[in-house]
Amino acid sequence: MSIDISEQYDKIYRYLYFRLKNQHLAEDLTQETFLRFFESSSYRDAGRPLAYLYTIARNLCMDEFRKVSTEELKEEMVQKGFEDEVVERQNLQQAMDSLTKEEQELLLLRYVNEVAFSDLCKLYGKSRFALYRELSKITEKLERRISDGT
Amino acid sequence: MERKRREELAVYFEAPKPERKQAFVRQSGLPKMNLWHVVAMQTRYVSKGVWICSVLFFGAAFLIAQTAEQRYMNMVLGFVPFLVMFSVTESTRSYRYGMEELEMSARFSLKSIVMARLVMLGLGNLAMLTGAMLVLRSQMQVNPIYFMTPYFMTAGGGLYIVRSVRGKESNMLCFALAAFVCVATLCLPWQFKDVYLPQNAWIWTCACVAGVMLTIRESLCTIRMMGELV
Repeated sequence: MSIDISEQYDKIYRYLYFRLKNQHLAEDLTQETFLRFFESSSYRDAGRPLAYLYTIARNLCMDEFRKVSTEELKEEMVQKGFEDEVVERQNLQQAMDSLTKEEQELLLLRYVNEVAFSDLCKLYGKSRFALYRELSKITEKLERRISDGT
Repeated sequence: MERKRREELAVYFEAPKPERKQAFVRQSGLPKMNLWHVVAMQTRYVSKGVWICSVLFFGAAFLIAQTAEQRYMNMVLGFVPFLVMFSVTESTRSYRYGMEELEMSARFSLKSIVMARLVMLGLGNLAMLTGAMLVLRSQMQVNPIYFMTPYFMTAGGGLYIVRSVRGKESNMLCFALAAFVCVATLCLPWQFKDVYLPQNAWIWTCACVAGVMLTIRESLCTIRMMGELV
């Protein structure tokens, strides 16, 4: 009935950090996401609360990108030492870099944040079959790139 | 996807530890609750009269069972509509007294509260009915369908009434419906002597199925109506 804030906070934060690459901004928008979620659905059951939560987070990201230009985002917002964290995962890093941002996002939401298929369908506005097919293609592409790299 | 690959992805997408999470979560003050917790919580707000009525019904069934006389069975059946009447009017109490706006501003939606009440009272009634049936069956020949039919007819009709009529008039109409079903149940054997014979069970089955479908339909409409109040 109500979402587990503590669990979803980490997931939404992870998602926003992936999009924005800035810890403080990601945390600000995470809290903003939850505040907006509680404001609008405190007495009305959204059919899919998780999908609604991610939609708010996504929209806040879009607003943030509109405020700051792409060049500024790259120069100021990229967290130092980010590359250091994944230096040991070279193959996966290279394979992931070959995927588009949208493909990476889908992998993050489905396999790391464990968002249910029905919520993802609502978030992306696609049918289960289309989303499943897309996810399968992305997974195959990733595995191919990883095996090419080894 | 393999578990190992998922773990690698989790490391890839790992973010620095959030610094303000605990403060925010503490401030939000909304502990996790599931449906059964809400249902249990609603138990405190149900009128004592509803529970007393259920216990009286069970007590009456028990006493009648002691007589072990088949002809008194329909007296027990006559009580069933009143059992469900209290539950139906209780579930939609906030709507009847114009409190729905206040309840909507609370943590849980009115839709959730009504659903929780319907679940709890419905389960409670079914437990009472099952208990009464078991007691009676130990003493005489009783087909469960004889209990279920007046129960679901009253439940479905009662939910329709509370949805269509606002205010205390809905209470009176629900009582009238329960009284009608009660009298009909009591008088049936006088008019149709063979009504409780096994060969006529199909009539009861059809009536029961119609009652169940009506109850489900009206329950969904009631819950949907609470959501549309926003």
